[in-house]
Formats: sequence, structure tokens, C-alpha cells
Amino acid sequence: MIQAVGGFAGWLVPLFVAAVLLHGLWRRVDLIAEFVSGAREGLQLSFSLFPYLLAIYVAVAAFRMSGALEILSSALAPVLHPLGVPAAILPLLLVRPLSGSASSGLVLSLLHQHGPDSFIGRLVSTIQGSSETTLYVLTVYLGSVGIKRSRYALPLCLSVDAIGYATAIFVAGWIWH
Amino acid sequence: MLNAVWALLMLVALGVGGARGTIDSLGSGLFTQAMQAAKLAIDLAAVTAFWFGLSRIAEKSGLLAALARPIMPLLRRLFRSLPDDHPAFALMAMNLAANALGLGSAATPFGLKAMQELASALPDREAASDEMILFLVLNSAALNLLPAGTIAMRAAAGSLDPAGTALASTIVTGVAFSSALVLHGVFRRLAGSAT
Repeated sequence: MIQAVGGFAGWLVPLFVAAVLLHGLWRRVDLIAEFVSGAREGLQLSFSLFPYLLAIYVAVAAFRMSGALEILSSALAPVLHPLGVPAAILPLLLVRPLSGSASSGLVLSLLHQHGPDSFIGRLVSTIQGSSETTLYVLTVYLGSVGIKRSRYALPLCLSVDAIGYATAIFVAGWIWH
Repeated sequence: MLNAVWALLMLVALGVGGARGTIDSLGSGLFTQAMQAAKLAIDLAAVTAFWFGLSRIAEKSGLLAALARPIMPLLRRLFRSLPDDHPAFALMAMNLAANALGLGSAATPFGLKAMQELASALPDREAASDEMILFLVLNSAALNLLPAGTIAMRAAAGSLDPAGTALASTIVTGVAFSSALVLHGVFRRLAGSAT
């Protein structure tokens, strides 16, 4: 079953690209012009985010190279191991709701260190792909309409995030372990 | 908060490095890692730009709107306090559809406009309404069919199977989406009325 799913996932992106292009042709969209203007915006965004990504990437790498991560992992192992949480992903769980660029930096560094197709690599990909930068969404969306009291929005959204992370750890363990 | 996390990571790393006598290699390691980050970021920027370009075509051709249409009946059932023809429905549907396809760049403007529509009828402009909070939690549960950003990062890191975690992400967001609905009901009852 896993292999069938993997085969299907491989088709996902090419099929989507084909669908977008065919629909664009049918609706007589100026494909190249729109693509280029969208891509330019994507490049600008990437470059404006790079300093944040750099900050986190280097800090996490230093934390790992110094041996501090190893110390922290072995200290937390008795708590995390029974829950099935690899210590390596702990920083990601803490940072994910706070900052999109910081969590991208973390995911990139974990993918690079453990390999994207390792268990840790797949687990952090699942977490990253199934969550939002909750604090950013709340701040920007509520701030844009001048809301000052968010009432139960933050505890609710963070609870849903926690359920998402727990589900991701469970699902990843079930599929790839 | 992030400030503290960052400073803590760096200072603990340097402290441990100093205590273990690995501070020399740590010093040169910082620059090697910075270069490593730049190499990854260039690959990532290329994939992001490609996806943004595609996202623009999907928006202009009306594909996004077509995909958003089937979501509207579901939203009408979830937001029962709003009239069926409320303008926020179409905007929320576009926002959720764009997010589901990993087109985050297209999603945010629709989300912000939907918030304006939800706010327009609000008697108390200071406090978030139950409808706003429901939309926010559905948004942060991030129902996802194609996690494009993650696929891009996996590709940049040299994965042989960049889309291989897409299905797992979809299952997880499905669970998060359903629990968001249930928990919204619970929190709403606990919090009582907005005023």
C-alpha cells in the first residue's frame, strides 16, 4: 500500500502543473507573463526571508555542533522516548507556531543533517506540511481588522496545533517505522 | 519570544563549545554553516518562485475560484449564524482552497478580505467574534492537499521522493480540521458570550 501511495504522490505535482497550464490555456491567460510576475514576487519574498532563515539555520547548527543538542536529547530522552517523540524534532515543535521562516530554517537543517528520506526527515516534513504559523495568522488577520481582544482564539488554535503535531508523530510512526 | 529562543541557542552552543574545548571548530563551523544555508536558500528560492508563478496562473485563469466553489456549501453549514449569501463565504472558500494547494501567496489576501467582511457586521469592534475565531482556527488547522513549500524543501535537500510525505500531511490536517470544529464548540461554550 505504501508503495502505491508513494507512486501516486509522485504524480501529484506533475498533474497539478498540467492542470494549471491547460486551464490557463483554455481561459486564454498570458501564461508566461503571469508566471514571470508571480515568480518574481516569489523570489523577492525568498530573498527578504533569507536573513531570518540564516539566523536560525546557523544557530541550530551551532547548537548541534557544540554537542549541546546531544546533551539536551539525552537529558530529555526518558520523557520523550515513551511518547515516541524523537528529541531532534523538539525545537521544531516549539518554534513552528511562532515563525514561518524560523521553522523553515529548522526543517532545512534537519533534512540536511538526517537526510530528507530518513524517518526524522519524513517526520519533520509531515509536521511542516500539516501546520501553519499560527501566531502570525492570528496577529495579521485580527490586526488587519483592528481587533484587540482575541478571546479564546489563541488557546484554541494552539490546542489544535498540539493535536496536529501529536497526529503527525503517530501517523509518521505508523507509515515509516 | 523568538528573540530569547535564538539568543539561547547561540549562547548555549558557544558555552558548551567552550566547556568542551571545541570552540575552535565551532568558530569556523559557523561560517561553513552560513554558506550551507545560502546554498539551500538558493535552491529553495528557485522552487518557491516556480510555485508562485504557477499560483499566479491558477488565480488569473479562475482555476482557484472553480476549486473553491465546492467548499461553500460546507462553510454554510459550519457558519450557521451567517446568512447564506454573506460575502465572506466566497472569500473564505478561496482562502481555504489556495491553502489546500500550497498557494499560500494567493491565500492571504482572500483571508484578510474575509476578515473584513466578518468584521463589518460586528457590534463590538474590539473583540473577535465566534465566526472570526472559527475561520482562524480552520485556517491554522491548514487543511492541505499539496504541501508545496515542504515538497520544495525536500527537493532542495536532495530527496528522492519529495512529495512522499504529502499524503501523511493530508491525513494529519484532516484530523486537525475535525478537532478544530469540535474544540471550537467547546471553547465557545466555556468562553460564553463576547460582550
